[in-house]
Amino acid sequence: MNKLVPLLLRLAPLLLILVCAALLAFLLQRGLGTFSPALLFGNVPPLKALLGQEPVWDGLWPACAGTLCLVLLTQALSLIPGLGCGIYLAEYASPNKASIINLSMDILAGTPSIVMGLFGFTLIVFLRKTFLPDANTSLLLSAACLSLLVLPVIVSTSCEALRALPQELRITAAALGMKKAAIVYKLLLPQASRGIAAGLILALARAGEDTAVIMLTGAVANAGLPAGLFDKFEALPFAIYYTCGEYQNAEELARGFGAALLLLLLSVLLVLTAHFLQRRYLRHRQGYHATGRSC
Amino acid sequence: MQLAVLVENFSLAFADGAILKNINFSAPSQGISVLVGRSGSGKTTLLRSLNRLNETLGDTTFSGRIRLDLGAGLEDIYPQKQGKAPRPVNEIRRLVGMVFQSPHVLPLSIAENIAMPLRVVRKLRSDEITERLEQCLNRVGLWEEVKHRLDSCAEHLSGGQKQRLCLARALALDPTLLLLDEPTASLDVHAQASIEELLVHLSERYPIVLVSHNPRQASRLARQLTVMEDGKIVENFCQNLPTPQVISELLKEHNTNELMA
Repeated sequence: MNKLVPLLLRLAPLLLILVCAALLAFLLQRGLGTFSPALLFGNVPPLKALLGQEPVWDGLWPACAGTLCLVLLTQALSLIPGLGCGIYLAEYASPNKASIINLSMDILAGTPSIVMGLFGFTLIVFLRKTFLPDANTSLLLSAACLSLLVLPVIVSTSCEALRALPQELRITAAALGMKKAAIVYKLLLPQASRGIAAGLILALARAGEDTAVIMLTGAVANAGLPAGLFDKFEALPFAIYYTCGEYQNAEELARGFGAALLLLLLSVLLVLTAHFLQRRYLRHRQGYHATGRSC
Repeated sequence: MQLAVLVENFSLAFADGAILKNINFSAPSQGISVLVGRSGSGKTTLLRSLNRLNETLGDTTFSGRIRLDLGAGLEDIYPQKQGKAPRPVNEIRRLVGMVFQSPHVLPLSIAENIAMPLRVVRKLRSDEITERLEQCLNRVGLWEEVKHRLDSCAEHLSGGQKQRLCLARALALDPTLLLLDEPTASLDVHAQASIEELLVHLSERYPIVLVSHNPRQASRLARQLTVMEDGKIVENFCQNLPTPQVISELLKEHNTNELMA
């Protein structure tokens, strides 16, 4: 038993790496062959497609742009309430209030994404029958439903990041005459920024990959570039789902794998950008050694 | 004798029980007043009552009064049934500088450790902050050691340097009283001597209340010595201060009485 446990502990991360490597290798093998400007832009010249001068109907560029818009809009909608709730839970809430909020977050976190999609769809039906007869599924509705889905991730990671800070930081700052709000915003939040950023990156990835919510709330197969908040849009996860369900030949299936690889690359790009912004922020905020390491 | 601190019939309790029991204590406006006592005797809680820092640790209830000279004569720092309302608690804490047992530097650069509180609490301009930064680091004898690396991380200073930085940070906020909670407990002999020398120097300008568990240090620094046991003050010496051996005996004696009781 004494030897088995350390062995299993070593095998567990090895298994994780193997699974990731196998997945990546499979995707690369099936999808890399399709990687060309045509996968993104079809027959349209790339510059014209990027500038929106010519619509792309047989490429994945509109789905990429739609996913990017969806992810950013979701982040914008969930950032303030998520972070605010996390700060309140960690720094201000009494144990009773904290338990009520935690219960609500647990329920929200346990809600399957298809249920969230149905909620958005039902909401639109209700609005059409009551106050807004012209309401329809759209980018904004998808982002709103997704932001509900990612809210618990942001709340719990920001709350935990703040709680993990040593109590002596709060006591020291209070002893210096700083008010509670100043302690939280000028000292604790910057110190917890690593943990909070990790939560935002997780939320970003979650919003980028979800299909069940968007297929019921606004994503379609052919909408072109996202035209506005109240219009339908294309998204990479939906393009993958649609291609895998409707493909007619091996070439179309390969394009589906190409789209999956593209979604993976887009997620990696977003995560790296978030890491870069976080590092720049920390470099600006904290003292540095000649080696460039933060405090 | 002009007083900097006057504590009258003060009791304080946390949710899990009373810590301070009917304390009567005063500290002169010059020199170092030393509080000694065994662990758990209530020294630190009494010290933290003088800047209302206990309130950050949980729900507290109190009775009695504490008056401090914050620049305009003795004034209440806890609300009383009658009389003027006390200053806002953050202003009281700003005027009562505190240094802790282990050096609590903020995880920022050396300069920011002093500049950030000045910017946030005192709302000073950057040129005033720069001036005060050099002034305060000079006063604690740290300027020459760190002037070329003000932007490096404060957490990488030595223990003694960190404690001097904490003192400089407290001094930068223009305190009227200094509270020191065993400030040399985590330092080596040389750093301890350097901090003690600095405290003697500072006590010419600021009233200081210092908690110590070291009878030799207490004897070296005290102008007034107070012995605490079980949340109460059991001895107070304003003149004819006891020797380190007598202080040690006093602490043992009170502890034995406690055990027998």
